Amino acid sequence: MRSPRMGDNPSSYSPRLSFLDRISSHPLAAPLLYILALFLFVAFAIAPTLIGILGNLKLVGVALQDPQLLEQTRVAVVNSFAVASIVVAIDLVLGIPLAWLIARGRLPGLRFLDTLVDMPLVMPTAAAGYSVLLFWSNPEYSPVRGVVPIGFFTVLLLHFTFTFPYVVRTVVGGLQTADLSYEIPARTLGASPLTTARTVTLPLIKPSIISALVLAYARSLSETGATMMVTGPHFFTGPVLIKYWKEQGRLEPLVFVSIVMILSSVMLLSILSWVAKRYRIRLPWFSPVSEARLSGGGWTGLRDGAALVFFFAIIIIPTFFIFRAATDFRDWSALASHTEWRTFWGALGISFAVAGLVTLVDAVLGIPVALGIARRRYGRFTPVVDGLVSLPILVPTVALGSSVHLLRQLYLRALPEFWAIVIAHISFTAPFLVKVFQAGVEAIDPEIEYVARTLGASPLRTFRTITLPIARNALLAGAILVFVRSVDETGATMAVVEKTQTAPVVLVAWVKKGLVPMSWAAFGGIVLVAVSFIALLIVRTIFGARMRVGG
Amino acid sequence: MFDGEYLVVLGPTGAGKSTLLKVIAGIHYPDRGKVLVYGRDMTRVPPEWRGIAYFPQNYALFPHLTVLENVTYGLRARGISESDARKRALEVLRMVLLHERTESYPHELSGGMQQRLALARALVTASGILLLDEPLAALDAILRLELRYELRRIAKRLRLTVLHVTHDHEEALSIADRIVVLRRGEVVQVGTPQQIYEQPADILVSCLIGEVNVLDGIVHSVENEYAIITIDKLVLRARRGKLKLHQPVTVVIRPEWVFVRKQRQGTPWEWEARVERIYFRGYMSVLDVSVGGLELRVSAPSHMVSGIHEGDTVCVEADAERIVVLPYQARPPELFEL
Repeated sequence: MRSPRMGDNPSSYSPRLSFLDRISSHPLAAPLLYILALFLFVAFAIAPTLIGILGNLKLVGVALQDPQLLEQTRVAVVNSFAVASIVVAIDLVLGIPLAWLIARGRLPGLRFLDTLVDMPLVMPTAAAGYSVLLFWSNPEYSPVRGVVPIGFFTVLLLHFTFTFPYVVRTVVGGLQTADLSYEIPARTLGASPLTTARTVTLPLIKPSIISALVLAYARSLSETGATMMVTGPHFFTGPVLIKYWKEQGRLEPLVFVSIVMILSSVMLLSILSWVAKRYRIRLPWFSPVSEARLSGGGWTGLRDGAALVFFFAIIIIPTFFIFRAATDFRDWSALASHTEWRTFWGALGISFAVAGLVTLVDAVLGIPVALGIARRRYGRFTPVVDGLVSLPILVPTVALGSSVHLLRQLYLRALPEFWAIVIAHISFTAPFLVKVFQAGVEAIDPEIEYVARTLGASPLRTFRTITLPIARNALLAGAILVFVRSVDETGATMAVVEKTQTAPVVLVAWVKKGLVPMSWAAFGGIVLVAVSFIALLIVRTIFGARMRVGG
Repeated sequence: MFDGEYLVVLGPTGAGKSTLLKVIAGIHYPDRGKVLVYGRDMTRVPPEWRGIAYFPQNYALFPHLTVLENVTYGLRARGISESDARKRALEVLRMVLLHERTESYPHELSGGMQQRLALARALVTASGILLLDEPLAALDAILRLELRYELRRIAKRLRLTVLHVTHDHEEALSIADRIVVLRRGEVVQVGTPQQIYEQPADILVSCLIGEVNVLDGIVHSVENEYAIITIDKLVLRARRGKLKLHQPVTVVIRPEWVFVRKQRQGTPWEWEARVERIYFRGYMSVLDVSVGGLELRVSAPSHMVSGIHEGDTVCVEADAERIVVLPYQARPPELFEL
């Protein structure tokens, strides 16, 4: 075998090395790429959310003079946080046992339960909102005879439906990846299952619990459209109040409430995640003896039963109740002819166009940034960049939309509404793609990339042939997440434009203003669900078919 | 390093052995210093242009590629056509006996096969230089013994220059042309295995390889070619070298550098010692003896110490020609991790 000497020019090996490949080997290429990507990311995802609000800070001064406005804001913000806190607390108390059952249980049908948990997440919240309204409060349809008053309670019940599955799924994921071997020594040392769970397993999966908590909380604080459907005329959450002021065309209260929501969310959630990560949360409980007794079969059954009952009665059935109302739909000819339906089909097209563009831009901007964070290319600023990228997650989407709206008013009046929606959506979806893809890249042993380089692959080639194929599933998951989130969004969309509507926004309008019969609204909801589902299926089939197991 | 040499880098964990390899391979750039390859400065050249083959500690096989694709990767990256790459790859795979598993994935192979795959992947690019980072660490003891000679054999046959990092001193002694001992990023000693063993420059080096007794003493007097050294109440003689009067020293005595006798012979450097334990190890036997408050481990051919039992008294004398006397050194902390 030929042993070449080191003097050989590398290009004598490789007449076909592409220009891009060779550029990527240049020592400045990578740093430039990461800085440029970060700059663009900040420009498109972070700046729009801040500039609009900051540019209108003087309006806050006016708002502070108005005691009625102040009081109204205080009530709404408190409502938002109260709802979010209660919902997330109960999610944890009942969700962890359910997650445990799914991850560790030995009953038949658990895989089915596992899939069922994911179902409400596929449901656009606008459709879920209407479903919840019909199930609990509508005198005509509700199996509980509409006994639940519209307002605080319906909002609570609604917020359970989109936070609970999320918490359960994250905890299931954490339990499945956690190392069982830590529990065995605890048990052989005499700790009951409950004690072991409390002192060994839960602390181990704390990071996933915390992240699920923060995201569920943020989601609850953000939710606008569906909440609007179920609040009735008297109960206001922060986002609902923002939308109200938007409709009234009053700028000062809009900016004021937005700023209050942004500041309180960011502060609370940052503190929450920081404290939770730093401090060991020692869950106080009864004595080990009581815990041992509580670990017994009877109590386990009770606990699992309660979780299951909650899951079905509060989450699954109300979420899918909309199908019941939709079966009443008879006006098939109206689907093509009626103006409202025509609006709906147009809005559906806009929804998917926006989502598609958003996903594309997010991927282009997000992949380099995620790589930069995962491989610590930002040096000691990597944690800062990480935090910066995550920032939009903590901001309620309706406030983001308001900010982009204000930005448009100030500097970009010529920008068509469609693109304003796209920009607003990019700002709160991009962090998700970055985080998910980042996790995927971090799971790859960097040595694999080093070896590829020493074998002669340029950085670009290494990314194309090694990093990307292995992290492909993470990228796909991130893209799907972003797509679904964009289709789902109501708050930002309503806040950023006046006339253009996406499909869920049309649904909200239909329900709030009573523009169409109930069965039509229900049917519209079903259509939205179905189309989303089919789109997901298509994406999964195209890319999923080439997924390889192993390695 | 010399062309065609098999150089082994030995050192405790954290010594910087892996980092050294990565700097040479181009994965990290050093803050100071240069990497010169055949006279060319490669310090800041990206790894894909260095043509230095790298074998990482956990193999880092590409999990999403087959055995064949793993091996052809480097060739394809350099622009070689698919068919030529396949031919070369199959040649190398035949050499490591993996030619029947070309379509398998890395996770389907056993540990030994994975190691051979990683080796094939590194060898196929036919660069003259190979860097191995603990290539045998993940294998069971038997495989490790067999494969270490295989590695050297292949390297010599292909006329490769090899830099082999390990923490296993036996491995180093058996296959190295020269050994570099690294400690906390610094080179402590470079030499052939014999030199490292017989003339360690440092306590760490002496303890790293083989068994050794380490004693502290003072130079009592010097005469002609020898120096007299006192260790507590004991007196011994060693080659004078550069030792000065009254200099504090550390004396390194390997077990086999001590004469063991059942009767006194009358030399002034003889010590009377009590046998605490005796271990029969086939050709050699090892005795733990106590003398003057010190514990010493000595060894001798078994036939010379037959009939000696625990509790017996024997005479031991350090071989002045072979023992190594170093300037006094405080014990480095790494010593306790060996």
